[in-house]
Amino acid sequence: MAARRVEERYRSNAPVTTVRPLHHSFLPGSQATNLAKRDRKRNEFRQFFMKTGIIGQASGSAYLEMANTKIICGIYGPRQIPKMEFSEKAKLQCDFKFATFAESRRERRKYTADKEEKEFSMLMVQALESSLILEKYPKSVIDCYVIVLENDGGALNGAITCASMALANAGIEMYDLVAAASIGLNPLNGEILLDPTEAEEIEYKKGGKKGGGVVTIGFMPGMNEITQIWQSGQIPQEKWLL
Amino acid sequence: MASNMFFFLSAEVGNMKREGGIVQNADIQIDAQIVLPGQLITREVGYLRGHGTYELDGSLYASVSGIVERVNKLISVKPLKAKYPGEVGDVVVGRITQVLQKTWRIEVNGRQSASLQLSAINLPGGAQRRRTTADELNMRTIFVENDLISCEVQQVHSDGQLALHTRSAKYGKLTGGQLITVPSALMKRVKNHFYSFTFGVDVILGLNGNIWISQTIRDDTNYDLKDIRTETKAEITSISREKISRVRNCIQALASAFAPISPDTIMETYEESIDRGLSCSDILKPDNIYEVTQRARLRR
Repeated sequence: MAARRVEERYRSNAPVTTVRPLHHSFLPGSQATNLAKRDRKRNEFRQFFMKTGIIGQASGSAYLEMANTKIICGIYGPRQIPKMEFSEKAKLQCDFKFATFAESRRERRKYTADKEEKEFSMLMVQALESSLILEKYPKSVIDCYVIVLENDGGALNGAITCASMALANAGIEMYDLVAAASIGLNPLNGEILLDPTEAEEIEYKKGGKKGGGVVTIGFMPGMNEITQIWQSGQIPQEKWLL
Repeated sequence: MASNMFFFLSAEVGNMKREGGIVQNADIQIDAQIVLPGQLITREVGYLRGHGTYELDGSLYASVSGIVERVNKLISVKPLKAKYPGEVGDVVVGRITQVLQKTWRIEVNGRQSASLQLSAINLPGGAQRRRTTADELNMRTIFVENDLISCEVQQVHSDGQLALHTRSAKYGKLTGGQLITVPSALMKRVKNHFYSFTFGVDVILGLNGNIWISQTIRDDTNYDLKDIRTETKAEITSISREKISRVRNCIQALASAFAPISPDTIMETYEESIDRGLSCSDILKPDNIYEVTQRARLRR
């Protein structure tokens, strides 16, 4: 207890381990948390639920659920840059955060942004920036806050899709909505799977003889353009040509 | 009804005249086409690119989510939810957020904050301003933080910042009433944004989506000498309060139905709610929203 970090001593800390409500076990897709029990086809997504406009005070907001992965996003702006510096384009600022209780299979997340969260924030800016018409909003800043309430794989692609919906909900001018998806390469048999769960992601990133890893792609369906590709793990060249 | 219709469409007709075309038949879209960003609106050439759209390889796409509006050759998308862009001469209702040197910073739901210069207001009692530092120190006696004011857009800077003014007796601090905020896209440009309903309720229809509702005050004061800090002293009766609430709920109903908001549509909705014998709070039940806004929605 003495080793607890300063910032956490001042907060009320819920138990490290959480128990899910019973009804979750009956929901479709919840079984997919176990590696052996993937209940859908290789090229099948988990079930989606999306809703916009759920945060009253934000300019735009969205909520996205992919089976057990739950993400909420709020957009604030475009608003004036606090310091009166001049820029012809608006600046998009993303803040990606895992809730402290987001992970069921690992230790509690810290309140401060860790390395992964900082990287995801940066990747989100990359994926979304090119879809927005930023020239329309000079001297402005658009703040995008994403919180992953529960992580069961696909947090980054879910966050990008969710943030793009929230941006559209905020009425910000954009060329197209960004939809993101992730695929995993199974190191054991070299199979490619769509929309891996967290357990699968962890397993695949360990790698093996046939490579193994996860690729996330941001895509604008209307314009037929890719806004971002992010790879984690080792994926052999020939797999990319599939 | 016909004259009302013209009144309602006057803003669009004005636009067309500027293009040099003769207006024969104002093209009103009754059934709305709803689009998402990046969605194709038309592949045909020869259309004019309006707000909320962009052109790519000769085709026209939407850049915001909203309702497609066509006026002859001009296609624009009216966003469901967007910041108020601002235009010179617009009546707006805003809230003071900061008192600065010689200016007030005002929140009008714009992309950039708006400012009201000390030199752009009429001083209490019509006094001439002496440009002294004492004058600047007295700014808080006129408007303080969190005050609601009605004012007019004097200038729109190139970066979207608004300069406001209250150089008329009708503008100034708002007290003794109720504020409701609606999407600014729904606000219609009409002849008079200070409207007095016959049933004793006044509204200030700010084009930024803020609407001020209060009871009609009959005052014979000399407007030249009227103090912009005037506070409504008159007692508001419970009957007035109910009427104000009814107007408020009618506006809220119009906003939820995404119908245009103007004195006409508010009046129609108000009358409809009374004809149907609805109580104030019942107006906002989903079924009733649909019923009471029926006529107003046709004007989209």
